[in-house]
Amino acid sequence: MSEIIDLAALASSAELEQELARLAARHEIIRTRQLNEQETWTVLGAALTRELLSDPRLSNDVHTHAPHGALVPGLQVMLLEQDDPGHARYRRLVTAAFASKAVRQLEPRITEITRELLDKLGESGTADFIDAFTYPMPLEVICDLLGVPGADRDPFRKWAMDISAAPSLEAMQTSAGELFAYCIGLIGAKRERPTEDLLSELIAARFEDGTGLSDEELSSFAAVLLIAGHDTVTNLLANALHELLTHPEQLAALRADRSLVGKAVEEALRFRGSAMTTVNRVALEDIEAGGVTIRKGELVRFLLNAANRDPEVRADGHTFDIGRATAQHVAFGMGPHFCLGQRLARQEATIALAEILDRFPVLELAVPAGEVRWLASDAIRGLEELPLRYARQAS
Amino acid sequence: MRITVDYGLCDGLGQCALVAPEVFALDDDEQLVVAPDPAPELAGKVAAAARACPVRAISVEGA
Repeated sequence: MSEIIDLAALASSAELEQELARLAARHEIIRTRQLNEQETWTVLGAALTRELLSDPRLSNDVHTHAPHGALVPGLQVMLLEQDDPGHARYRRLVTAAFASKAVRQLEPRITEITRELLDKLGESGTADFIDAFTYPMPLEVICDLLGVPGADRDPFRKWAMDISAAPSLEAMQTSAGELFAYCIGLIGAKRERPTEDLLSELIAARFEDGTGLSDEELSSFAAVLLIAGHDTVTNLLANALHELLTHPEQLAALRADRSLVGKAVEEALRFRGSAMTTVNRVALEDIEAGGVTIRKGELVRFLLNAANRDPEVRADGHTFDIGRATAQHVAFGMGPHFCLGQRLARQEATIALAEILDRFPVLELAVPAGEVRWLASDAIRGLEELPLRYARQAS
Repeated sequence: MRITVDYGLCDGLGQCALVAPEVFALDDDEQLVVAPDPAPELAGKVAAAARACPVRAISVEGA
């Protein structure tokens, strides 16, 4: 196996997942090239994904063991680029904010934000639903949660797109630098004048030994929660709408039985999740896996969207079917780095999908299905735009 | 083997139950339930389940 796959180039096709399945049928693990030209092992098979995501021989602490594999050189991303026991120690500081109870309490606010955005769309029209809805909704929610003032929220879309979808290494690093600088300033302001929000709580939080988080740690925390906390939901929700609108029988089933909305979200996560690829891990020793030897020091990442279509898990993986008994996916990862915000993501997507369908009995793609454009990103799976025609009443 | 769960930390994420379903399960309220006296041959799986916990709420002694 000598072929090195350029994921970002493949991703501009709607057929990416089918192509990955063809590759996965021959290799559980392949070589791909990253944005910074580094080559990395990339795990495709579901069984190997489940096995290696909890393998302590793979470290997320690339800054220590393989600095060339870092998301942003010199800036350690809190949680994502940490190993236990340190990772768990930091994660415990934020678990309460993303626990079931806290997320349930956000329901009225998520519904309110959703309805306000839908109100702006009026009775009928054509709009890019990413721009009008799936981008602003989760951004408002996470900014409210962290305490980012409304007037500061404009640059976030560019920062998030540059960092997550990463059109180029330069854009990614520039935007990450700007976001970190912004967070440092925000933390300074909240140290002087604490407010009722998660960021102020983190500033006040103390470990067992009485120490707190440094400004750099707080800034990294704020940045990762802000970006991971909205961009993933933006694309998940847009992907979910796209799948439903291109599978009319599934949409009809959901319109007929609104209790299926949670299952529709799970199937959307499985079928074409937005957090397509994990951050890099680095092998701390030689590892035999999937018929290859991963050498000590080599990078490994996981292509969750490939694992979620693995024919070993289900024969009909390329069928979008919201009626499945269980979607059984790894869209939120697995093991110690299992997505912190998964309950919030699921709740936002479930509320938004139900509200959109309630509001607009008429909802359809405003361009031919084959003409939607997919982001050429090796990390985020999503659409450039989602132009929809909508109406509150059938004409 | 003695398994202790810190229920103040446990977030009901169920990662342990994916690794060692013979020993760990979530009930309908996302409360973690641990099987009493797991067989000694499950020690490896139990250790892996403890490592899979995102908040390290599980500790194992005498494995």
